[in-house]
Amino acid sequence: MLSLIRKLAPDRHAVLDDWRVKAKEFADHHLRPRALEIDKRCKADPTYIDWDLLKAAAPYGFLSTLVPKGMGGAGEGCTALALVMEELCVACPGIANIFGAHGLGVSAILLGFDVYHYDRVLKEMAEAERKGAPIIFAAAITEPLAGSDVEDAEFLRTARLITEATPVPGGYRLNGRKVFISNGSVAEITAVVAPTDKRRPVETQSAFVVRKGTPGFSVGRVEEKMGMKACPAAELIFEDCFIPKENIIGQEGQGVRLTELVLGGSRAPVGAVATGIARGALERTIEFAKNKKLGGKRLLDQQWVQIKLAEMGRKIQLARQAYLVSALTFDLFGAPKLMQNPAARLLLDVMPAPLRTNAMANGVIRSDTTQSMMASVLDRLLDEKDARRIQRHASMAKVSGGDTAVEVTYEALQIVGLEGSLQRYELEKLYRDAKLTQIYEGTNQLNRHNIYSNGFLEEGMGHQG
Amino acid sequence: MTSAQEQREQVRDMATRFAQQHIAPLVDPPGADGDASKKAVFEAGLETGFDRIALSEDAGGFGFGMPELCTLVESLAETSASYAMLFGVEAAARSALANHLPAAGEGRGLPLGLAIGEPVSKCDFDHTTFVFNAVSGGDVLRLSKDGDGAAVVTLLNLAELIRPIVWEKSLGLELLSFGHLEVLEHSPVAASKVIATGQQAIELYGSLLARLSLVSAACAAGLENMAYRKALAYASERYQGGKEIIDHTHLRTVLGAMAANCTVGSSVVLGAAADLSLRHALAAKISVTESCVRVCTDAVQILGGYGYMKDYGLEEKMRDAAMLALFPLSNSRAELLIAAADRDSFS
Repeated sequence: MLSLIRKLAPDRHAVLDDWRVKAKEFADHHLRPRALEIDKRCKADPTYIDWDLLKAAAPYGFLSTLVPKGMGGAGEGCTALALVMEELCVACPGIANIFGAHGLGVSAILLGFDVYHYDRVLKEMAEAERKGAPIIFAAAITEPLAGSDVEDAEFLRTARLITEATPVPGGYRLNGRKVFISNGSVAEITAVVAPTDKRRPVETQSAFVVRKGTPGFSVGRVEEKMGMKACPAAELIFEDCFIPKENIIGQEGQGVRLTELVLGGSRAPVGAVATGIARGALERTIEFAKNKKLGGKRLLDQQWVQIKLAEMGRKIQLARQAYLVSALTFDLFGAPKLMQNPAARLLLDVMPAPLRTNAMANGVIRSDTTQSMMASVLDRLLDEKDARRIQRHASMAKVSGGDTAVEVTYEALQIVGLEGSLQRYELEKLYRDAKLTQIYEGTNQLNRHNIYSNGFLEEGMGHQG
Repeated sequence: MTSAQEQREQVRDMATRFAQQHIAPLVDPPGADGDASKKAVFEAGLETGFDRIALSEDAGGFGFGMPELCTLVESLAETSASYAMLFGVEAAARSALANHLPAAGEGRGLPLGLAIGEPVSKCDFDHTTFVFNAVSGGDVLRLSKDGDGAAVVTLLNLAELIRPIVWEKSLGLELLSFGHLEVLEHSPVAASKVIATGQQAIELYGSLLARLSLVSAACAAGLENMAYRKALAYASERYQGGKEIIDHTHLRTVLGAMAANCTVGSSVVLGAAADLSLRHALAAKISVTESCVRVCTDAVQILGGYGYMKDYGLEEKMRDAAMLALFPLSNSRAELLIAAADRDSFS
């Protein structure tokens, strides 16, 4: 797929490959040497996060990959982020997941198309990264009694939600709990999705920027997980937490569309995470097979091993195609198209920040009229068929990657044998890490449902699918 | 009920009582156990006679066979696969040794360590890489080759080693300790430690491998049953998409497939245990442990995020299941052995 891009769009390929190379360099020099040590440390203390590694990553700009150039970021899309995630995950999926979960939080703000927040929290984050003192974002969607339900508009109607943002003078009062929130315990900024009336979740679902330390917002239990231990997953508790009106992302009631946009862009990087895990397992297995003899012959020279390795490679290649198709479809036909609009480029990348952030400009940008206009522009730019295609491809990338990661890491253990179960070979870690990719960002069952319910019968099986 | 069935029921009752009294308090919530409790449970298991269950009455055992040992392991695994394997490996190793070296029934009190490799042929002794189930001061049964390339089985005491053994962490079955074997490879072995050589050593190896494979399969049968029941309980309570998830037809097909796998596991193990041939044992091991991996992975998936968290106990079952597919040898290597055996018998 990348070789096709090189042929058709060499400049674009050069940019994307630059991200891949940077990510590989960071992974090889910083992540891989410390992956096991951090995994063990997080097993003993699930709240631990390795800030030193995140500081070491700051010069690479991974945290602000998606942030528009005018706010100090790289202005890149989903494809660049996905390529970065694959490379990082070859070395350590747990640490990579910190960047992935951060990207989810950034996307929730970015795809709300609320420039007010761009100039505040996104800019703050990009500046912090540039200074070598990174801050992390998170997105809080999952609830104790509603996991996949919150990620699907059809299921949301009957979801048993417990979180609600009740409108009060000057803002909202947030009450409830979110669970399994990656980066939740360490995030400076969390994008929290909640309805303003939980009896009508589809109509009133909204998203809010919640800063760490806001009164009424606390971190509950930090989970002990099977894998991906380097990225803490936490329960977030909201008790009469006052959220000022300006912290809403976009408009009230746009939460369902926002969630759909975010997941349409974030499931390709999850596919990339899974592809990276599988590739990490394949590379370690080949290394082992080169050096290990069995029955007088190197493992690598045995036909049964060669066939298994080839099969693992085939699955990885297909998973990579799936996430690249999804990421490119999202970047070229989805919400990022709006960012490439000349007016948007002028507003985001060219216009000096003071012109956007002064009180008058703020008033205009945040007005209901402007927000409604933005929503209507987005509706016009996003073709309905494209929107469904993006959803299908995103779910296909996620399912293909997740299943490949679990299957390939298991095969790797089978090739290496009982010895492969020892921690020092890292295969057991990858096997533990892999399972999460079938669960988070909507279970693979929900994603299969998503593939079917987004125009599968009408347009999903042909070449235009 | 036949006598054999009665014996297995008797063993099942004994295992269930023991698990409720000694093991359940340590594994619920998961991870509450430690070295001290492991030792206490192991001693209580020895007191109950778990290590002697497949020894003849002459050798101080119960006079049961592998079917009863498999029933014991399967029953214990419904509470903890790790404890089930601790006793299962011990009893299987002692029963394999008892036929060749009656004195091996002695020395109870510490687990018998095993230093065996993963073969691609029955005579493939030169790939021992690490030792498992051993404890400091205990004995280790080692299968290797002598200077002339002949098979040799030795019984070493770890206290006699020059360097202390290096322990390592693994994916699952956390009570089966793993140690690095390099220290053994550099240790001198006295002739008095050799308990079998040549053909006798190969037979002993095959017998041990068959027994350990059966124990692994039995453990997988118990483990998958437990994982299925947990998933079923969750699916009956968890509400999603406007109804309990068990009422989604897709989930029913998944649960049905899990149940189908679980239903045949015990029969496959018992059939192989009665036969006790290496080929049959390996076939049972492959079939039941692969089924167990699928069932446990699906169970985690049904619980979603909760399944991935330690507190719900299923992630441990998924890790243990993958270990059973690797112990005492990976299923891929077991497939090679079966095909080689069939080719030999065919020609």
